[in-house]
Amino acid sequence: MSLLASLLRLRADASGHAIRTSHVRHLHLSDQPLMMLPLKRTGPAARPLAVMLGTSPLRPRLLIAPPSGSTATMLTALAKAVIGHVASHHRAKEYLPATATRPERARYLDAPQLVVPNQQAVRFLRTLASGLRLRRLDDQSPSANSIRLLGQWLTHFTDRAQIPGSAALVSLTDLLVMHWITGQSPQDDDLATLLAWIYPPFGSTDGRDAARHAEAPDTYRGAGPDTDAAFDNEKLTPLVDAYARDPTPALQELEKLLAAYLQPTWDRLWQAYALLQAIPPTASAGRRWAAERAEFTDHTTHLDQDGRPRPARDQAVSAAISLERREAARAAFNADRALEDPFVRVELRTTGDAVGGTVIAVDDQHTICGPGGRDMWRPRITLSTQDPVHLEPGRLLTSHLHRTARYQVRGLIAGPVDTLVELEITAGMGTVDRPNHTVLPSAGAFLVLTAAPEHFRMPAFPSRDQTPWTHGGPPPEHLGDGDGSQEEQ
Amino acid sequence: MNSLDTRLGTLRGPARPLPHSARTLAALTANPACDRRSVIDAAGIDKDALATHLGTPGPVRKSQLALRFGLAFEDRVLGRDHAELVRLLRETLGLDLADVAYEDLNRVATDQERSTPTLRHIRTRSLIISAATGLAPPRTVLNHPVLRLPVAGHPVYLEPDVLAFHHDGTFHVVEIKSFPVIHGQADPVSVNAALTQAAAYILALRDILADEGLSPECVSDDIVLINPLNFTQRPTATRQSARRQVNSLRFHLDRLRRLPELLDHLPTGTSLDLAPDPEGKPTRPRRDLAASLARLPAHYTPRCRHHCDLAVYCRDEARSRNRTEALGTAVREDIAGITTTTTALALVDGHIHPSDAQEDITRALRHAQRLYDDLQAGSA
Repeated sequence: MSLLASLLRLRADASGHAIRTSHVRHLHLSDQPLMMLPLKRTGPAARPLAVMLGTSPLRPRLLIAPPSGSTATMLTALAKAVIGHVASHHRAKEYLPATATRPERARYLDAPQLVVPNQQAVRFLRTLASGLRLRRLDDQSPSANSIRLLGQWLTHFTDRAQIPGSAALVSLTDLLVMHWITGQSPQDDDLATLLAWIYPPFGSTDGRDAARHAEAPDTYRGAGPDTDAAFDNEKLTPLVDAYARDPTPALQELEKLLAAYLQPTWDRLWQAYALLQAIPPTASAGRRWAAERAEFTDHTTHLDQDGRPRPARDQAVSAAISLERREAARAAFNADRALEDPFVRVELRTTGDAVGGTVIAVDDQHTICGPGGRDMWRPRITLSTQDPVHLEPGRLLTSHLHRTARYQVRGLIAGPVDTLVELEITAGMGTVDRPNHTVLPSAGAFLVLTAAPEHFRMPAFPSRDQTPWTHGGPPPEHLGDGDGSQEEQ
Repeated sequence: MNSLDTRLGTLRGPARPLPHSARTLAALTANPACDRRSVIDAAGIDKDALATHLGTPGPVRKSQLALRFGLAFEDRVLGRDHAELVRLLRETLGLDLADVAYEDLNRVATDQERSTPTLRHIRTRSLIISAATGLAPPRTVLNHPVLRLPVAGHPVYLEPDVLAFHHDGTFHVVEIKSFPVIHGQADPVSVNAALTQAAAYILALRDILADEGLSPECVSDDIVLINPLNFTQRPTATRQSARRQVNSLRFHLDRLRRLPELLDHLPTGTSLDLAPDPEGKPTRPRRDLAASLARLPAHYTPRCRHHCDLAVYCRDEARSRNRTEALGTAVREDIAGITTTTTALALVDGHIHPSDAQEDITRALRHAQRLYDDLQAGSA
């Protein structure tokens, strides 16, 4: 959160209207996502109660798990739907030529995308997946196999959801707050109230009024996956009891009840989706989606060739590697957002992580002594800014107008009002004879510079059998099967 | 009856006081800065009834399905003559099988109904003391014991699930919770809540021992937490340290001594009495009640809705006064020292002059506004 975000939240609070922040979308949104609205049964760990899903707003499918007993039938149906959606992307491939570092490889032309209401749904799917993929292998029936495969795919999607910038599994609530700021606290954000602020229904005077109406106890509908206690007590408990006496009619009742319960949220999901899809995507969203297609291709290959599920808990080395990947992805995503999104740049300027200012002095003859003793051309400029700069000397900056340009911070001189930032241009400025004037501006020009993306190199990690004792030593080969991950029937 | 009680009684009116429980004690540590909650809880006022009468009922908290699941799990742990419990305690505490003897304190001096807390507490106390002094044959496992903890001068009866006494002379609180431990990991928020609850039991247990001149050190800071394992209903036990929660709860209970001071600030005649008619329907005018409530300063945070029935009321109150609390902790911290939206925006827009303390934040806010305006104008 930035001071600018706080200021806009105050404005939204005062006006009663949501405020638009970012006008570009940083995540790819598929034309045919698999929308999923899961509900969890109160009590047991990750036992589904229902899932509403589909690729079109008009024809949702509703899968119901019985309140007690086996969930196998429901999970098999869910597996069929999810795996079917995944398989529909297994058609066409493109072939990428070999590069200096990588051999030739194939990549599917499109990847599946799952869309859920919120982070809680992502967490629920992750827990569900970890139970399903590790189910015992005794049962080799097609249905048991498909449930394990469902676990493997949900693991893929929920693992990807932890990578910043990945669009394999999208939480709509999180995506909405990247584009609008409302006059309620972020802790109060949920799909119903957010949409009410952003897109007040006809008849509401403003967003605040609509949000208040949306959260009134008799109209409020949480977006799951937890059902609220009032719904549990008034509607579900009697049906659970009725199911124990006579399953068939109770199950029909339950289906009717949950269909009606989920419908408003289902409609909101598609409404939010339509709002977000209308926002133009950035170029890097497309690039990241191409990387997502490669991940999808790799996971498909892994399932075809090896097929072992990811273990319940990472070993030290694999945990360190995935943490490293996540941090690299976050840095890259942040850098891309800064380059492509003016709002993000303004936000960074208020936090002091970027700087915008007027060029007041240019030393275009400045040279330094290079490694071979030769002079190297390193023009210097001085910016005058009122931004609260927090950039230490040595930091490399870049410009969204010329991304290969590099400006190194040489020093800061704080004045009573303005701060002077001395910069040395180290890349992108062209040559002495033919300077690039976008990068090397003349005095009076206005420049906005953001942190340059750092080149990521995966640090060397010891191999699995060389795990140091400080990290538990080499992990045991097999954990045994007494871990009780089998669902109790 | 002391004078504090009389004053709290005036505030509450003729309704019966609601006693504290381990849960409300835990809530004290969640938002200790809230004087409103401290006073209302100390007076034993029904917050849910207040909120409902004021037209801002909190969400229903107790799901029947969750309760049932919890009870079924507890049965599974304690049923079959405590077979599972004994196994788990042997694993985590190293209890000897020969040592294990139980006493179920649900039924003291009666065959049917639950006995009164006082009676069960007296029995619990004598069992604990005899175990600690080694006079009587040791009771290794006490089921549904009742402990007593003085809170702001009042006894609060607390019911831990199980107390285990080890032959080496230490007591352990055992908590049975129905949230799962999946692949060795449990939800940290739930674990913290369980540990805070257990902290109340540890303090109460130490009180009993200290009263008898026995060393309170006999009560371990480590508790045994029993949860369902992975996706099953099979119980698993982990030893967890509640030291942090014990210290924090002790600190907050000590702070309750400030109650008289808080009450001193209340104008005489302030009352939160709902004045129910013979049918129990509140007749107190809402505006009047709200005015009384307003004299007790609240410290609203968006997290309140997880543990306080008045949360919706306090949020609406903050909003209607344009206070920034309802906008979340980030806003509040970013513009620390400015308490209302109106003031903050007036400072930004230059309608009022900042005080010395507000100068820095005003400059930063104006700068942010200028950048945003430039962005809107398309020149940034």
